[in-house]
Amino acid sequence: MRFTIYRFNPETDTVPYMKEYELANIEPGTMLLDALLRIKNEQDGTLSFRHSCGEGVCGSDGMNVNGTNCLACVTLVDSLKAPIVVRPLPGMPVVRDLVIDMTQFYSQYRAVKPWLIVKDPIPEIEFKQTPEQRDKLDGLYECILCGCCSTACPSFWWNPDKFLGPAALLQSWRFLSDSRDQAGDERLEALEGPYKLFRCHSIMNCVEVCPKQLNPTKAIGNIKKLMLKKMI
Amino acid sequence: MSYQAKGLQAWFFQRVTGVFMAFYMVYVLWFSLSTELFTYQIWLAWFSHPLMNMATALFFIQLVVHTWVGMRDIVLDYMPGDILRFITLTCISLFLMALSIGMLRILFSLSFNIL
Ligand code: SF4
Ligand code: SF4
Ligand code: FES
Repeated sequence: MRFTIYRFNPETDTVPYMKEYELANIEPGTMLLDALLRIKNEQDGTLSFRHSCGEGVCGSDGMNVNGTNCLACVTLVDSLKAPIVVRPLPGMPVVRDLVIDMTQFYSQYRAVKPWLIVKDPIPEIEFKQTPEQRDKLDGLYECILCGCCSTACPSFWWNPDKFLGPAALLQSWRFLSDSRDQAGDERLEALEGPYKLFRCHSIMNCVEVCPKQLNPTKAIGNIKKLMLKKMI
Repeated sequence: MSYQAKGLQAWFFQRVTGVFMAFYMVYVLWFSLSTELFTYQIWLAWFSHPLMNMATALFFIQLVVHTWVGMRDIVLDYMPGDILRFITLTCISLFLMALSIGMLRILFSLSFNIL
């Protein structure tokens, strides 16, 4: 099977280029990450990409494969059309080959204060939640910050420094819907303005690519609804 | 850089004005198609009715708001750089203001007609 992979080493290359690789004897059930590792080990040791858990848990190996963002470790090679075109996640600075600089993504994540803010004295033993309150966090807390969604979002491409992006906004909603959090008003306040939240036009690219089947668009819609309720 | 009707309001206005204008346009279309002999007299009487006059005025105000939010969205999305954005938005707002003044003049002359 043929692979076309994006290559760029800022120390030696002036411009990025696509390099072809041919891989034979791919066993059925092979994941793309395993194929890339085989290419690296058998053919070209200079090929660089991030990976760690190998099972869709750590979120390190987000990449753009045949035009769609995905995690290489949970993408079956059989499900892809040859030649398989592998590029780094779009719209981010490339460190080398498939490795991108995620600084912007993380700083947007940090901007939504992804932690519990509690003003009352903190309980001595534990925070209590009813099962219903806990259920509200399902579909929100599972995000592994792989970046597939935000780097698939046109609004994030145009304004990566101002629009928070789907991943960060999903986390914003995660803390807004947490019964233990006491900074709802401040959180909403911080999202006002034309950019941070309202650059989202419900294009839903984010939903399509999320490897954890999460729904940032719905979370963003919920934030807007909550803002509207507070306004009225 | 100043953008009026920032986040939530702009988003909310966009929806409300969209719904109102859709109703208005359907009504205007329905009326003009269902009236058999659509003469100037009928048209004048129709548009000079205080309710219709008000609805039309509202329609054009909303059209300006809707256009402003929509154009601002396009500029913020597709135009790089704050300076370029600022210049374009200023031009658009001047154009929309000129348009509104023209619209108001026409509407007022209509309502004076029935007096
Ligand atoms: S729904 Fe919003 S956040 Fe998701 S891809 Fe579209 S614009 Fe981006
Ligand atoms: S929402 Fe999904 S795609 Fe986005 S960072 Fe989290 S896990 Fe990745
Ligand atoms: S290697 Fe951990 S998510 Fe793919």
